[in-house]
Amino acid sequence: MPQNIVVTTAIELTPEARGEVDFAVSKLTGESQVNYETKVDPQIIGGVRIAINGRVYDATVSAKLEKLINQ
Amino acid sequence: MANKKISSSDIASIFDKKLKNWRPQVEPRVAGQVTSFGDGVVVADGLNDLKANELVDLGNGAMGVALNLNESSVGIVALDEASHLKVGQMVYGTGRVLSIGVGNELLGRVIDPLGKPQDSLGSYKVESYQPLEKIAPGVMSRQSVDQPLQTGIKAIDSMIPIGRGQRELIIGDRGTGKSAIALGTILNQSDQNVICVYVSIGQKRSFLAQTVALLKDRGAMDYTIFVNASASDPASMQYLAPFAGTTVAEHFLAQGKDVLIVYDDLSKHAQAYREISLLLRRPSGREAYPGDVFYLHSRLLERACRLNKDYGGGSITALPIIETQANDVSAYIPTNVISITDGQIYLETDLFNAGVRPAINVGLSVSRVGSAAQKKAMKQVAGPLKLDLAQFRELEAFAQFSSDLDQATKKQLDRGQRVSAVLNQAWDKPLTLEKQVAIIWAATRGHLDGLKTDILSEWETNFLEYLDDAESDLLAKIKSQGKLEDDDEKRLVQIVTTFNNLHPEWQIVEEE
Repeated sequence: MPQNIVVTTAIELTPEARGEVDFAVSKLTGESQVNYETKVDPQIIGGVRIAINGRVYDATVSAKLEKLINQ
Repeated sequence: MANKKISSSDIASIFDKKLKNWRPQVEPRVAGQVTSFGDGVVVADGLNDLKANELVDLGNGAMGVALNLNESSVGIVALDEASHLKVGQMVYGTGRVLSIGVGNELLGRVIDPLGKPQDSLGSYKVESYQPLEKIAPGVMSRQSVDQPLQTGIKAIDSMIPIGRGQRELIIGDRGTGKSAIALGTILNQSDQNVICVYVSIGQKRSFLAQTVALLKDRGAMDYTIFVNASASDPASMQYLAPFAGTTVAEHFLAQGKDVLIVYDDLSKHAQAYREISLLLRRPSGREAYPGDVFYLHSRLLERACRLNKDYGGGSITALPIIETQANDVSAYIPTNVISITDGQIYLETDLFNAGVRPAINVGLSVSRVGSAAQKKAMKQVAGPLKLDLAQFRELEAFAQFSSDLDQATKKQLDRGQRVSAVLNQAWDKPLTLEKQVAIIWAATRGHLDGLKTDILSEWETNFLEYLDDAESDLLAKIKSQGKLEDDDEKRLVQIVTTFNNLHPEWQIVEEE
């Protein structure tokens, strides 16, 4: 099944960071080799957001701040 | 009260502590991105695992309901303004379907369709959260209607009786007193052990404020709940209001209580649903209503029921209101709701303008199940009533053309005039069953034929006062045994004759 995966970060991924993201994505999907699309969005401030088929793992600074505000 | 001093540094340290221990968890959420937003309808992609009718978090505390699930997009209706929404913004599924917090503390309150209080009385104790959309009780849990719901309105209780668990439509043009009938019925439930839910859909806020104040003034708010979606609320809220009201009613039904629910009005509800459906680009049918507008109302009104003993024996009586345009009952929504309900009370502008209150067209109004629940006493006296009135209406039109009438015709006209005069009643003055019986008895048995027609309302007030003062034991007897026995009738004859003789000024003097 082709997976639709989008990784969003605040700045362009460095090669080390890309390695970490590769690891995280393969762990989340359970597949060793996955292709994903990367996006840069300064609005998220920092951290990473991984969307896999409409299911979102949001570990961005902006999401954490929003959570904090809502508490 | 302990006067503890809190300095700003204390507050700061509390925050510090809280922040240090705060570890945000990253959990997968069903999410999507807004692709378009306008007129309260959000279209988002993603949101793969969303359920139908699921609540969607639109951010900034705004919520929406997923109504359209397509392969690559989801149609969401915003439950409030949601003016912060932008294209590309993330929205999240919550995994919850639309529900409302219910509890006994709701009595006397005004809430919106999501359970948010709209009065200034603060929050109420929620006993449980119940989904707005529920499947109606099944066949095996039901029982036929066998208890009357007294409206306190003579014309209705005598000719169009309503039973507990029935669905009786109130239909008519604007300004014919539809809401007044519903409100009069609520006022009459003060000693009937019935809980009332008034769902106001697309009404003016001023009307609501006035109504709540009036019911409070008359002590009726103690057993009444208002569910309100005003004309200025989003269409989504107006669409949800009747379902929320029914869910509140079902909370009391589950306790074996009798509940009366008024939907004022379902034409505005259908219009709100039409608006949502058109914005969601669902195909439109007759009068631009969507194809499932019949199902919308039938699944709502099907939740009115009378449960049998094994299921608590409670009931929900529904009084939906429909506003017609220029007396057109054959429009789409009126015919739909007429066919769903167990009868209708049909109000007419012409009658209203002619001074008939309530302006009920007796010929077109029916109650399909209520007569099984009517009290024996009322059945005894109300039998000739419909006939008298029908004959009168027929002759009245005919008698306009000729002045020479034979005795029998004249007699029927006289009787009809008095019967219809006696059915006139102010909406906020409900009468108990025994008083209604006494008055209708006097009119149909011809005891008013010798009185002038223009004093009949005066006669009624005085006669009722007289009964209260001098003959309260007879009223109590009729109330307790629920029927008129022969000696009761004999006593009524005596009472009426004595009373009429006390007032010679009311008698018609025969001219030779």
